[in-house]
Amino acid sequence: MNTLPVQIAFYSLAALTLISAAYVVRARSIIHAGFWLLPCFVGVAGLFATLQAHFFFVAQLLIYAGAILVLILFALMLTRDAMSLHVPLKSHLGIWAGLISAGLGISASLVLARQSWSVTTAHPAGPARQAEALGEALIGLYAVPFEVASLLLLSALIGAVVLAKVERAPAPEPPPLADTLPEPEETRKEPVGVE
Amino acid sequence: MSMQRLHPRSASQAREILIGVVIAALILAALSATPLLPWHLLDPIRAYFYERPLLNNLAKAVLLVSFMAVQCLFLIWMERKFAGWLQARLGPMHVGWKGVLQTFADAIKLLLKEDIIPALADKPMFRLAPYLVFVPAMLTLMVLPFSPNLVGFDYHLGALFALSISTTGALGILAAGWGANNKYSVLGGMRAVAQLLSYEIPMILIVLCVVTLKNTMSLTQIVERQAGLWNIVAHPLLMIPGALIFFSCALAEVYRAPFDLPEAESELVSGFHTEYSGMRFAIFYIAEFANNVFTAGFAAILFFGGWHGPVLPPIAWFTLKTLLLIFLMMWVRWTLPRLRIDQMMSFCWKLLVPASLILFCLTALSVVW
Repeated sequence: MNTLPVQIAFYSLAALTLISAAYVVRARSIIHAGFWLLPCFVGVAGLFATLQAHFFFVAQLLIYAGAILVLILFALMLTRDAMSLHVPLKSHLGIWAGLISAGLGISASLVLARQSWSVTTAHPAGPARQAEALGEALIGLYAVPFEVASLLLLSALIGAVVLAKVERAPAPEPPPLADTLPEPEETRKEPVGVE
Repeated sequence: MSMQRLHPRSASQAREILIGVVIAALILAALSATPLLPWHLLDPIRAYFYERPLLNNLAKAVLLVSFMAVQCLFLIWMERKFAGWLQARLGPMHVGWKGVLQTFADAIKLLLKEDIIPALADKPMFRLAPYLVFVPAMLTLMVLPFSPNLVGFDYHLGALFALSISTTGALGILAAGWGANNKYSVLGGMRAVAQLLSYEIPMILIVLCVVTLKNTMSLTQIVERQAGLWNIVAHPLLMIPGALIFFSCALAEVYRAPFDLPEAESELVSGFHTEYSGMRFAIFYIAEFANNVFTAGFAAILFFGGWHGPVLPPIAWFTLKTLLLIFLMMWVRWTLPRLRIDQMMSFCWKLLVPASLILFCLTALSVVW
């Protein structure tokens, strides 16, 4: 396995992910910000591919780049100021947000650097076996957490329906259509002298 | 009854059908002779490309895109002729024999046309959208095995990869609809995406049935394991309803009537590509036909044994099956009227999704027993 091309791919995909993530934050229009998520998700999928996690690569494309991004864009398009290109980018909470992100970043880097990661040269299971092994793990060893997670998603689904369902007053009777109106008097004359 | 009592029109139609049958027979004969050709003369070229994987992949990509462009020229002509036939008119007649070259003339016209971008459009998105539709359409063709040797990338998760890539095409349509800054385009784009995401679910479930039966996600393996017995023959009780559901979903995924709501000409002025002209419009069109070829080829692989078949070489069988399925799609398109949007949605969620779920349960049971 030659590592240089893989490393080049890894760093360029990481750069793609980070740069597009920065554009998501900096874009002047929220719709553009939504579309900048696409290279971000594709970059993450590519990172999975360079790590030979093929199933995650495809799942990331299918679920994030395909479904979730579309839902996000739908929600954005239905918001009030979606058309405006001048959403203010300044926020009075900027300092706090910066502090919290910096704290998180520093602590995460410290943990990453201090931890002694177990490094192995053994390859993961063969690519064709991976999806199979994952499936077996999900219905075998991790069956209970898997089912609990799906139960959580189901309750979220039902909750969303309940929240969105508004009891409306019954719609008013629609005005009668033109051809159901009683005809005006003068047009209802009997034809005279036609015999 | 003498022949003179026949209407002159029907006599000429009979002659045309005869000519068509003869041409088809000639093409098939030529194709069945292809294994006898001196292919080994090409071996040095093949070896040159095999030694250079990067160049090899590039050549494959170029071949795939140009194949699709040529196929598109042919399919558009076929569709217009067929539509004319169904509607008792002639279709294109003037450029070339029976209008064969009409699409070439149209392509040149599209290339030379002015590329108009509406003044108030969201310009970067308007420019980007055709490519966001075109690239996924081409990427799906990449994993499609045309014959045992002719496959762009033999991916072991091919079925899942093809489905996931084809979903991302929805983003391009959304971008086109939004970028044009036109209410009809936005409506068309939103309809397209809602339809695509809804019909994706039964489609994935049916693909999952085939994957469960064949115990593999690689498209090449799925075809290889159908040697001798196509899926639809081997498991008729599961696969005939499966193929029907898949076909309905495929029609919806490529936005063909009766599911052509996103580009409904009479309501939305052709929807998300209303504002596109010239080459950008042509790119949408090529992508649409690439999606057609992909879904038809995918169905041929999943249910009709892909490249398997007697006498003719594999590539001929695959092409024949794909073309027949595309023909079927055209037939449905030019026969049925358009559904209403609520009919379209309830057809998917109240009929196709439960049916495909039940089918998947039955498949799982049949595999376990």
